[in-house]
Amino acid sequence: MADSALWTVPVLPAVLAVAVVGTVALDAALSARAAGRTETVTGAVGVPLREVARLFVGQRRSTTAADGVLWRAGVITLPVAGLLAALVLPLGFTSVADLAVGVVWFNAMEILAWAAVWMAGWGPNSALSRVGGYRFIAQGLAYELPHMFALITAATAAGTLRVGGIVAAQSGPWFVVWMPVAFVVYLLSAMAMAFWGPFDAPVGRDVAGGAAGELSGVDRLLFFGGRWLLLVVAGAMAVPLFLGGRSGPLLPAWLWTIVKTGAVLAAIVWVGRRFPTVRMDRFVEVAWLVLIPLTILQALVVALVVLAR
Amino acid sequence: MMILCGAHVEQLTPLARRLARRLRGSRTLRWLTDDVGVHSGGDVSARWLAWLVDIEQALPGGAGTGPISGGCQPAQDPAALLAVLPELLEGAELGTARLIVASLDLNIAGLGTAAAVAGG
Repeated sequence: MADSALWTVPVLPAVLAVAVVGTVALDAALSARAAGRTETVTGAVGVPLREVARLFVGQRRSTTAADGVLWRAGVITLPVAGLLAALVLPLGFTSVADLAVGVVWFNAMEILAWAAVWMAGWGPNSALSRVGGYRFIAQGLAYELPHMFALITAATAAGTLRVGGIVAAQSGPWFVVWMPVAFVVYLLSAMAMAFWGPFDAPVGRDVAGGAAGELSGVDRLLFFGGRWLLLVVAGAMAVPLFLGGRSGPLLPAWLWTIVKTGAVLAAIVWVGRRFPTVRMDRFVEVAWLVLIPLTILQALVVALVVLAR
Repeated sequence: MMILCGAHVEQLTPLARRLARRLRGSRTLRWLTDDVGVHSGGDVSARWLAWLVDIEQALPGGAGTGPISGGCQPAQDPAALLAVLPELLEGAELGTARLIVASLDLNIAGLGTAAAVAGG
């Protein structure tokens, strides 16, 4: 049974920071390998740390007639949303707050990213940034509904919106076994919400960095830190939702959580690098004509199983 | 393709053939450019596929050496393409719009006079 404890409050940000550095380091190592270099572990871990130091001391640029309040609010909202979403994330047995509406809370915090990226894109009064911001809104319209159906499927099977309850319901077979569609859709939408991999059009090179194009210094650090945080939190949430959470043989609960989370994040990073950017006017067709019907069907099957039990 | 004019065949041929094979084999690329910017019976996919054919025809079949000579002519009449462009771009997202413009391979050197004629 999962519960919440006060010690998790300082531990959670530290764990998340380590996970983010690890994920960015993996991405850096894969980049280096793709470029034909081999990167040592310390070299790869040094990449995000050096980048943080560089952005910390970097000069902040501004643009003419920028909407400063909106811009900064957007930039700050992204990491805050990631952190708030992580409150319901179980670290082994305990989470900071195992809310009765945990899944809804998690989803609501994720959706803050829509506002964050749009505001960050609108704020600098730059055409390409604004294109990036609006691209993310279009992306949200494509990925969010399948994402919600995937979340609801896990909650339906467990009969609760409490994340601890969903983990407890997987003492038998993990949810991924009998709801594989929901799991795959969840991972796809986790990448889309963190505009990672094939879904990076909002910050794409073709619009000179898009929503992040005018960001520099600490602003850039917050924005991309928030983006990686969101990716890590969304990926980590796949473990309690579909992969049985802390449960597993031999190893202690916290170690299973780490192993599974690491595997999910590695898969997300690898898949994200494997595919080129997909334009949203194409993906939205797939999302609405294929993914939504599939996830509804998945939810229906799961609901029937729950009723028959 | 104009950029490749004068490049050395023996260096270029294997690279170009590999590139062409890779692009033709990419379903994702095809999916992203199909039904985009349909003009005179072809979409963006058809146009980049035609470029690949042009490139391969420009490469000599055997192990020839020396500079590339074929395929160095400019594409279609830029003024005619310019006239259909607004219609093609209507309602297109920026990324799509860039694909359409790039796929038409407008000859910018010819555009100056064409625009002057249209404007005057």
